Amino acid sequence: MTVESVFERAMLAADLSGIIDFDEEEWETLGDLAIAEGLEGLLYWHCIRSAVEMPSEARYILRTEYRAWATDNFAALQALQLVLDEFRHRQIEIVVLPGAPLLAFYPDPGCRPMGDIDLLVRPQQASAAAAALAAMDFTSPDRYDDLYCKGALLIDLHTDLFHCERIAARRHAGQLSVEQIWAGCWVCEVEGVEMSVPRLEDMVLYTVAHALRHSYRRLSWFADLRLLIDQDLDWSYLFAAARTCHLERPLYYGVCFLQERGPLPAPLEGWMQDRGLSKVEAWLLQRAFAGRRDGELGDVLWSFNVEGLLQRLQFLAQTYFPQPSVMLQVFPFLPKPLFPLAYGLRFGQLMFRGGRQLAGLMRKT
Amino acid sequence: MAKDNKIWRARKGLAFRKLVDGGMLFDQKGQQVHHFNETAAVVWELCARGQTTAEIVARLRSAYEVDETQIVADVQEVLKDFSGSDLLQ
Repeated sequence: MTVESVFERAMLAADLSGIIDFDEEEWETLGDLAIAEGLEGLLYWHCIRSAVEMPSEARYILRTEYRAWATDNFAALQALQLVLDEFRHRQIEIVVLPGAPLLAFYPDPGCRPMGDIDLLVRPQQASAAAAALAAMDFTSPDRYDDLYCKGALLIDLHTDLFHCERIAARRHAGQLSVEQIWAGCWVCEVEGVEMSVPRLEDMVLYTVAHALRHSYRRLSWFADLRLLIDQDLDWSYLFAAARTCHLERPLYYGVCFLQERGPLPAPLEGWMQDRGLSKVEAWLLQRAFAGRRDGELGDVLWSFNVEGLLQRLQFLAQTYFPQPSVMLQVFPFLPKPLFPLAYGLRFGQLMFRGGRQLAGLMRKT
Repeated sequence: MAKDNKIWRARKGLAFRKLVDGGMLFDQKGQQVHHFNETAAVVWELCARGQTTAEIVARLRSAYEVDETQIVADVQEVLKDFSGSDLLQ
C-alpha cells in the first residue's frame, strides 16, 4: 500500500492500522500529504486519540498545524458571531454555507481548515448586507467585490450558490435552487455560535458540486462528504433533490470516490447500483481522481452535466475564458485596461497544463 | 504559593474549548489564545467550576497514578501560570 492510500483510509474510514508501522521517511511524506490535502488537523486528532506514536518532528509539525487551525477557526467563528448579530439587528436574513457549518460534524475546530466563510443573502438584501459589513469596518480586496475582509475573518457574500452571476453558463450545469436552500435551512450551533445553515441533504449536494468544481484537489472535501453521508439523512429527499437540481452526476462522482475506499450507507449503495457512466466519462473520472492534486479535469467532467453540444461548448468557453472581471482576478498583476491580454495568457496557461496532463498520461500508458 | 482552600474562578470574557491533546482558551477581550496541555486543561476546567486547590489536587490524584507531591507541584505551577496570565479572578 502506498502512503497515499494508507492516508486516505485513515481519513475516510478512520483506519489507522497502516500508519502504525510507518518509518520516519513515510511520516514525512504523510505529513506533507496531510497538509496539502487540508487534513493535517484531523490526522493529528486521530493519531492522538488512537495513541499512535509519531516521530517527534512529525508530531511537532502536525500539532502546530492542528493548534493553528483550532485558533484561527475559533477566532473566526467568534468574529462571525458579531457579524450575524449585526445582520439580525438589521433584519438581514443569512444562511451560512459549507464549510463553516461542517465544523459541527468534526470532533473539534482544529480538525478542518476553514478559509473564507460563505454567506448566502437574498438578492434584494445584498446591498444592505454589504453596507452592514462596511459599517463594521470590513473592506473588499481589490478586484474582489464580493469578498469582505476584517482581521482574520474573510466573508464571501453570495446571492446564488455557484457564482452564476460571474459565469452564467454554470446555470445549465446543475444548480441548487436558492429558494430550496432558504426553505430547508435550520439553526445549527457551531462552537457555540448559532447560525442558519442549509439542510444536511443540501449540504451533501453543495459539497459534491464544490469538490467537482475544484477538480477534487483536496481530500478534505471527501472527508466532509463522508461525515455528511454518515448522518441521519433523508435519502428520498437527497435523491429527489439531486434529480431535480440536475446534480446526480456530481453526487455519483463524489460517492464513487468514497465507494472505492470503504462501505457506504445501504440506501446510497443501492442508488449507486442503479447508475453508471459511459466509458469516456468513467475514464475521465478515474484520471481526475488519480491526478487530483494538480488536476484540471473538474470542469471537463462537469460539462457532461450540460445537455446539448452547443450549451456544453458555451459552458466550457465561459468557464475557461470567463468575463474580464474574473480574468483580472486570475491574473492580478495585469492592469485593468490591459484585460484583453489576460485571454492570451489564459490560452497559454491552458495549453501548458493540457500538455503536462497529456505527457503524464503518456508516461503512465 | 496558593492556599489549599482558595476557591478559583475564571475571569470573565474567556471561552474554553477542549481539544484532543489539552485545550484552548480564547480571550475575547485581549483577542489572545492560550493553548493548554492535558493537565492544564483539566485544572482550568476545575478552576472554572469554582473548585479549591485541594479539590483540584484530589481530582487529579484520582485520575492519574502519579505521586501526590508531583501533582501538588504541577497544580501549583499551572495555577501560577494562569494567575500570571491574568486568567483567574
